[in-house]
Amino acid sequence: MLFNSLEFAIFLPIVFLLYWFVVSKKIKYQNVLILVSSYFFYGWWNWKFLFLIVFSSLLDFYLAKAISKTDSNQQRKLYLSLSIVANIGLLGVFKYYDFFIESFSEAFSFFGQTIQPQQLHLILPIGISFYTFQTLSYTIDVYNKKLKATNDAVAFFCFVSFFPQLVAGPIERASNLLPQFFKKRIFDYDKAVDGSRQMLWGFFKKVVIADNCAHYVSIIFNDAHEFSGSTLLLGAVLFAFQIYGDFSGYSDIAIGTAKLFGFEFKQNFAFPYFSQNIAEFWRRWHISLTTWFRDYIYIPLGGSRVSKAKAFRNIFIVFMVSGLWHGANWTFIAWAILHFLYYIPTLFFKKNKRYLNQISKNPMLANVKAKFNMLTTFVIVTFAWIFFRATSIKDAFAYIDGIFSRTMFSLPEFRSEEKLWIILFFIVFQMLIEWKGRFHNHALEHFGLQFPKYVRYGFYYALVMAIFLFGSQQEAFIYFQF
Amino acid sequence: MKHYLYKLFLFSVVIAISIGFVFSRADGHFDPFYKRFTSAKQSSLILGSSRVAQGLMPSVFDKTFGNKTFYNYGFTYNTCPFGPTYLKSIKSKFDTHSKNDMFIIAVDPWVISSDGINPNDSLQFDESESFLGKITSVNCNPNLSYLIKGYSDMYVKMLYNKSPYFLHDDGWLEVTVDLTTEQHQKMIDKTVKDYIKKCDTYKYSKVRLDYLKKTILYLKQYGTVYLVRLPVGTEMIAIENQLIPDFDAKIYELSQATSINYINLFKDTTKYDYIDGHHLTKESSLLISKKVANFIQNIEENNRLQNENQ
Repeated sequence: MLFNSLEFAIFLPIVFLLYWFVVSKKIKYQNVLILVSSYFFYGWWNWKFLFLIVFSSLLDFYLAKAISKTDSNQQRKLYLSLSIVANIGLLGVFKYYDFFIESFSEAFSFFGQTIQPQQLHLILPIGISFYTFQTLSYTIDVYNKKLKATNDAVAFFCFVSFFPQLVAGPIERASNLLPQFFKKRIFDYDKAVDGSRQMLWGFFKKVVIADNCAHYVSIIFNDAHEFSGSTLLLGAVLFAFQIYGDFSGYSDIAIGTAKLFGFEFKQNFAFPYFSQNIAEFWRRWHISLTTWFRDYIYIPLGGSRVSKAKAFRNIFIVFMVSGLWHGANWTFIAWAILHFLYYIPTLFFKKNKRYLNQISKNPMLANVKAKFNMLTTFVIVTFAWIFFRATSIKDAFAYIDGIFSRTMFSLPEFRSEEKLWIILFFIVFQMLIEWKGRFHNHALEHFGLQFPKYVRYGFYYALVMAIFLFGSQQEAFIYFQF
Repeated sequence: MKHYLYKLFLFSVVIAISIGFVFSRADGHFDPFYKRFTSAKQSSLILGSSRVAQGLMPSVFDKTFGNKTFYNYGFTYNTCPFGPTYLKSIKSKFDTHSKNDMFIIAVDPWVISSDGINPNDSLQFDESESFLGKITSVNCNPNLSYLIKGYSDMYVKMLYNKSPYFLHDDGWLEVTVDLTTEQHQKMIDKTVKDYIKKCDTYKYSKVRLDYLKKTILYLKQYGTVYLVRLPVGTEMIAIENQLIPDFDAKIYELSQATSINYINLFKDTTKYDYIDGHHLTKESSLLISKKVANFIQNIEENNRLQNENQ
């Protein structure tokens, strides 16, 4: 079920009312309702893949219990290995098997040998990368004794499959989310209002920004050879806003929906396009995944507290895994390598920890240096997005080649289309609102609270009507494919 | 909780009223298809792609055949090629209680072709994902199913009448464009370029031809069916001949097999004007509608005389 669908508009109020009016007396009933609703939400797309979620949940539930019951290090390691092999194995079969087998075959043909391995052509279960990482983090935390294994199967199953974040994150940690399933949830008016505001902003970013950008991005990227350099540049910039609006929009809707049910998720996007260097960008973009890699890969490898060469290696490994996590295509690897290359200078000159938790303290405008830093970071990130969006490395290079042609300084195509100007207007609007709200968890958290009610409600009304009037056709979320 | 729900309810009511107001503005200007789904079930139908949607005027046929009311139920070649989706939609639109109707089906190579690896795999026919496949009702006013699921552009368009087209109550799509010679040529070049590209991916589909036959046989139960091929600009002729070289032979064979008439005006290219190389201008639409109507009238007259002689 898509958040931006009629089905979800019916589903959410029903679950919300049942949750607070019918099963509100007991936590267990509320959890059962969440579990049933979450499976219904997922099964709406393809109920057959529910078995995978159930299997993953069951496996980690029992393996974590087994880990916590034994003191034998050997056995604990064995159970953890089982969990990792099974989870990564499922991910490998569904997501990467065909990619590796095809790459293997191409490598052979490079040396003059022809092999024709059997491909599986499996459908990629939506959200598999998200819930696999989520459930895996639980077993690892139990193994590391950061968390006690739970005996409450329903609560654990809810943690793995909670519908707001099931298919595209944020990837919640058991230490944050699981305990919330044991606590009594009391309806909190302020939290619900804040959640509604966050959902509203998420829908705006998804429907008005991302889906409208998608229209031009598809046209430009699909026939890149037909467009001028300036149009290709426009396409790349629009994709930067499409993917941000799409993914951060999803996260905002997910976090806001969770608030309606009394849950708190961690922030997943912290206004990444205001970052002043690439290290800061990665602290602000898809935070739940970045911190997952930090805690379960980077730090166990030694992090930055090792020799410089090893620190570079660790960063390289993290970026490679991140690239592969995004998809089974060499374009994601190229995208990851580019980001690694961007990262090297910050690590080399020890600037990777600059700009921690701050985006230009000046309340209104950033100073010239900050503006320059933001712009250059945005430019290099957008350049890397070309690889992320292109269907092959060859297409990506052709696209870049097209940008840096003589037509780069011509006026872009589509300039006479009013739809393009509407999108550009809303992108500027979005950036202004986000700039204003950059110190908070989401753009509308404290936006306009100083104004009288009727002004605020007028603004919310304008946002809803903008979503309705300027929204584009229903597009699936980009991150569903990951 | 009550306070939250109360506020949410009030806010939702205001939003619902606003949306209702916007939807009430949906007319023949805002979208080239919507009004076809708001009219009641129809009897005599004109079917085919956008060429026929713009090219054949039901009012001309109404005048020629006084006792019949024609309705243009043509869409675009990518939403209504012959297949399960279009046939289902036709069945929903057609009033089965009527008798002695007349049906004009416009054919061209595109409506019996498909892109993709296997043009005969009906499970991969794209139109099932188009508005024609998505909407559940084709005869209600307002048609929320179309407005919510089928319409794919910005709703803000409903608030201003800037479109160059107007969909008449009888389903005819009137397109008014005022182009300079240079703009006109540019438009033709673009269309030709697009169709040359399409020609690389589109292939003749036997399954679609079978569905055309099924459509004919279904409609024949309720009246007389005529197949028509409308002319196109000179630039488009070669492209269509390349797509299905023996198209006319195939259609002729089909007309023989189903005992219906095939009126082929494909070679009348130079007698008409086109907006973009294959859609007729308003003036030419009137001319060709009269021509097709006269053709059919003559055929009907001959048939009547033959029957009387027998």
